[in-house]
Amino acid sequence: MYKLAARVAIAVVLIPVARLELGAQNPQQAQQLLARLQSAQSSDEATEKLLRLGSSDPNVKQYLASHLPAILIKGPRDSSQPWMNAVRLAGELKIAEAVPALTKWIGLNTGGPLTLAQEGRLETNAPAKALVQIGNPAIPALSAVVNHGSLSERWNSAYALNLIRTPQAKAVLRDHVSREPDPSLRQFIQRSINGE
Amino acid sequence: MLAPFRFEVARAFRLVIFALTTLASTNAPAQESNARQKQLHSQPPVDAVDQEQFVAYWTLEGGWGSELQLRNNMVAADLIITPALRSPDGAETALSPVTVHPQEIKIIDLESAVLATAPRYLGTYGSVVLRYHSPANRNLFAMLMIHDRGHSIAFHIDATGEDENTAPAGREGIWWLPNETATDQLVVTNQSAHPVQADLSFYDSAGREAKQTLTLQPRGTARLSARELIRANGLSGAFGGLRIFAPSHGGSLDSVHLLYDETASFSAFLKMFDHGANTTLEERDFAHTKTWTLRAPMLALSQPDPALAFPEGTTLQPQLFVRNTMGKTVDISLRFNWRGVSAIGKTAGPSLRLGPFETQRIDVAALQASNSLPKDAAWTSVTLTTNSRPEEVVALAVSYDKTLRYGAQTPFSDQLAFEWVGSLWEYDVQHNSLITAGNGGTKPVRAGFTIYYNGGTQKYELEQALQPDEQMWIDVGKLIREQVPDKNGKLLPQDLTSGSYALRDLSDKFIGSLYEGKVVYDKTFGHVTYGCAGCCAYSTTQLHFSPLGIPLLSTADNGVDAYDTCSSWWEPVDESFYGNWTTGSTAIATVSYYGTHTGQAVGATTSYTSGYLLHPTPRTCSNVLRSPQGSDNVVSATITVHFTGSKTVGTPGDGLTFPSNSTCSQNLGLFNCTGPGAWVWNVEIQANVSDDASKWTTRQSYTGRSKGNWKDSSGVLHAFDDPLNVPNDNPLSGFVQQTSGTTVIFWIDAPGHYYNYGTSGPIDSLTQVQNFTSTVCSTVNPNICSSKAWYLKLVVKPGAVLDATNSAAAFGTASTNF
Repeated sequence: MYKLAARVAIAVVLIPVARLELGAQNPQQAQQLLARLQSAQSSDEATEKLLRLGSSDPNVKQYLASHLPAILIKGPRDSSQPWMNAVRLAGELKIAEAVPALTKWIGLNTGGPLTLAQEGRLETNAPAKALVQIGNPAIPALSAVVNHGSLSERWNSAYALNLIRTPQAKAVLRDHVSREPDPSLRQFIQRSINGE
Repeated sequence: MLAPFRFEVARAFRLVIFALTTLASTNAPAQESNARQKQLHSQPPVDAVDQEQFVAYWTLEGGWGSELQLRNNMVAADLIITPALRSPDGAETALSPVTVHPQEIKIIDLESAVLATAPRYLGTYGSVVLRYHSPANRNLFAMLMIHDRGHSIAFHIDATGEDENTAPAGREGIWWLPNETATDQLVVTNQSAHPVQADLSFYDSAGREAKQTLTLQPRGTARLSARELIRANGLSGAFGGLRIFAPSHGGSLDSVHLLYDETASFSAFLKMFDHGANTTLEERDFAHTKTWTLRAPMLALSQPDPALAFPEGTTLQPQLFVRNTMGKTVDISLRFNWRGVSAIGKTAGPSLRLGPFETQRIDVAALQASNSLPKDAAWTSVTLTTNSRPEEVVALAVSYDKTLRYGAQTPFSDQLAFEWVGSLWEYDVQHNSLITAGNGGTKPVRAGFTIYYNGGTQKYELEQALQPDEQMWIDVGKLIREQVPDKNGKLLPQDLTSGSYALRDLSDKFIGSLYEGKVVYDKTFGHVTYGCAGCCAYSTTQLHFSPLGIPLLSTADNGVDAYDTCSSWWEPVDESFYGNWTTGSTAIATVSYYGTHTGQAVGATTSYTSGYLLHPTPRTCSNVLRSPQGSDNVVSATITVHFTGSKTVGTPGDGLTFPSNSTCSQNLGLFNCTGPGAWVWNVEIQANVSDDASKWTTRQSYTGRSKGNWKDSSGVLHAFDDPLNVPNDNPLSGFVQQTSGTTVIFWIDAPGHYYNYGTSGPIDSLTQVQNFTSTVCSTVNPNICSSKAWYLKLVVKPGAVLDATNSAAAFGTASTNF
C-alpha cells in the first residue's frame, strides 16, 4: 500500500492542501470537535456535529480539509472507530484534499459479512466508498490505482469508478479493460460497461 | 336551467370582476395485492382541447343588467375563459379573458365589461359563448344572472354545451299567464354557425295547436312574446303548452322563457326542456326502476317556512302544471315528501291521465286544504312518474301568494348524479340560502355536502345518511350564525357571505342517486329564487393495466378508471364493472367476477368488461354502458439457486466469473479463501422466463444475524452479536447475465464473512445466518415478479476453523435463534 501511495502521489499532487485559519464563526468549536473526533469515547458525537457544521460553514469544511488528511494517512490503529469516522467525514463533506490519504488505504478490507453486491458497493471498504462520494476529483487517483495497484486495489478502484459512473469514470474503465490482466476483473468491467 | 332572482339595486353595481373566494411465493410468480395495484396504476393525462359553452340570453337594455358567474370545477389547474357576446343577428365580440382558480367562482358584470371593450352593445341583447382550453367541457360551470335593476327582478340562466348532432330535436315548455299584465319573453337562440329553421307551436290546455315557422340566423337570437302569439292565434286560457321543433340541427337550439310584472313585483321562470327523438329510458332511468321519474325538490307549501321571512299572514298557492308533449295518452302519478317544522312524511298524490298534448293544473293548496297534505307542512318535494318515454312529459312547480308579490319556484328534473357542483350561495343581513340533496334511488346512501370559500381554498364538509326519498337540508346561514362544526370540527367564519358548494353520493360514484335544489331568499323584496347545480360525469374509461401481466397459473387483478369531467381526475370505478369481465381466450387467461385474471397458458389475449357510468352530454348527464378492453400477457418466471457443483453449462450456459478478490474458486459451494481472507459460499441464481431475459430486472435482499467472538492484539476475546438487514443487495450488472434473445437469467453471489470483524480484529468464532430473497420482475408487465427464498448458515469454530459440517446453504429460511 505504501508503494501505491507513492505512485499515485503524482496524480494527486495538483490538489492544493492549503492551511487555512478558521473564520470568526466556529473557530474554537471545530478545533475542539476535531480533537474529540480522535477519542473513541467522543468520536461519534463529534462526527455528527462536524458533519452539520461542515455542511453549513465553508470555513469549517476548509479547516477539515487542511487537518483530516493527516489523520487519514495514519490508517486505522488500535481503536478504528475514530479513523472510520474521519473517513466518513471526508466522504460526506466531499473533501477533495483527502483523496491521496484515502487512496493509500483503498486496499484495506474493513471486514464483516459480505455478498458480491456489498463488495461492489464498497460496503466493506470505507476509504473507497468515501472516494466515490468525492466523485470526479478522485478519478485521477482511482485511474492510477486501477492501472497499477494490487489485485484487491484494482478491484476496489474498478468498483469505485463503476459507482461514480460519470463520463470521466466510464472513460477510465473503457481505457483500462483491455489491459486488465485478471480475467474475472476484466469480465466485470466489460459487463459493467455493457450494462450502462 | 333558469330561475327568477330578486336583486338589491345596490348590489347591481359591482366591480367588473371580483373573486368570491370564494409474486411473492417461493417459486411461482406472484402478484402484488389488489390494494397495492390500485395505488400503482396511473393513466395518461387527457389533452386539453378547445371547449365552448353557451348562455341563451343576456341583455343590457334600459334598466336591465347581466352578470356572468364562472366556476372552475378542476382541482389542480387554473381555467382561462374568454366570454364573447353575440348580438341578435349573430355578430360576435370577445371580452377580456378571465382566469379562475380551482373551485373558485368569478363574477363578470357585463355592463362594465362592455363599457371597456364594446360600448356599442349597450342597449342590446343576445347570447353568450364561453371559450376555454381544457381537458373536459364540464371543467367549467357557468351561469348568468339577468336583473331588472329598477324593479329588483332577476333570472338565473345556466350555460350549456352545444349538441352538434344534426338529428331532429326540440324544446318543450309550459306557458302560464297568471294575470293580464305580466310580460313574457320567449328567447330562442341558435348556438351553431348554420341557419336553423324551426316550428314554433303553442297549445291550449286541451291540446289545440297553433303553429308557425321560425328562422334563426347562424349564432342568432329571436325574442318573442308568447302572450301575443297565443292570443293572435286564437288560443285562450291561462296556461298551455309550447314547443320549438327543428327537423335538423335540433341540438343547436336553446331557449328561455321569462315572465315578469314590474307593477306586481312578480317574476317567474318558465323552465323549458330538451326533447330528443331518440332518448331511451335506459339513459334516463338512473335508479333502475324501469319508470321515468321527474322530481321537484323544494316546493314551498301554503304556510311558508318562517325562514323565508315573508310578511306575517302570507299564504301561498302552490300548484303544478303537467303537460303531455305527445299525441297519445299518458298516465302520471304524483307523490309528495313533505317537511314541517317538527315532522316529515310521505303522501301519495293524485294520478292523472293526460290526453294528447294536454296540460293539466294540480292545485297543491287544495290538497292541503283537504288534508291530503298536512296544513302545517312548509315544504315538499314532488315526484312524478309516468308510463311515457323520457322527455315526453314536462312539468312546472310554482308557489305564489294571490298578489304574486311573494313566492318561490322549484324546477322539475329527472337527473340523478353522483356529484353536483353548485354555483353561488349567499348569506348576509338580507339574504340566506337553503340547499337540499335528496336520495332519488332505491337504496340508502351517504351524502356529502361541501362548502368552498376563500377563493375555493377552504372547505367545510358535512355528511348524512339518506333513505330513499329522504332529503338533507342545509341552512347555510344557520351553519354560519350558530357556528355548527363540520365533520372535522371546523367552523365557518362568522363574516362569510358567499361561496360555492358541491354534493357527492359517497355510496355510489358511478351513477349516483342524488338530486339537488337550492333557494336563495331576499328579505328586501320577499322573493325566493332557485339556482341549479351542474352534474358531473365520466367521459372516458381505461383499464388499470393494459397490457396486464398475468403470472402463469397465478393471478393478477385488473379494474377500470374513469375520467371525471368536472375535476379532470381519473377515478377507479371497478365496482360498476363487476360481473361483466371476459377474455378472448380462456385457454390463455380466465377472469373472475371481480376482474381477477388467472394465467392458464403462456401467451396473449384480450380482456373485456362493461358497466354503467354517468356520461356527460352537452346539456345533461346520461346513464351509459361503457365497454373498455385491454390486452393481457400471460408470462412465467421461475427462480432456482444452485449451491454445489459447477456453474450451469449448456445453451445458454453461465458465462459469469467469480471475482478473484472475494472468493477463490469458480465452482459452487463453501470455501475458506485465504487470499481475500474470507469464508464464502459460491452460489448461482438462475431465472427461467417465458419471454426474453433482457425484459426482466433482478433484485435481492437479505436479513439475518451475525454472532461470535473477535480477538484483540492481546489475545483477549470480545463478543459481538449483530442483526443483519440489507434491503438492497441487488446484484451488480457485472455479475449478471441476461442476454437478449434467451430466456435464462444468471447471477452469481458469494455470501459469507471476512476473517476480520471490521477493523477491530480477527474473528475467532462465528455463527452467521443470511436469509436471502432473490427476485426477478418484468419490465414489460411491471406488476409481475417472481421470488425465491434461500439461505446461508456459516459456522466458524473457535480458533477460526471453518465448520463445514454445520455450515449449510439451501432453499427456505434458517432460524436466527442461536
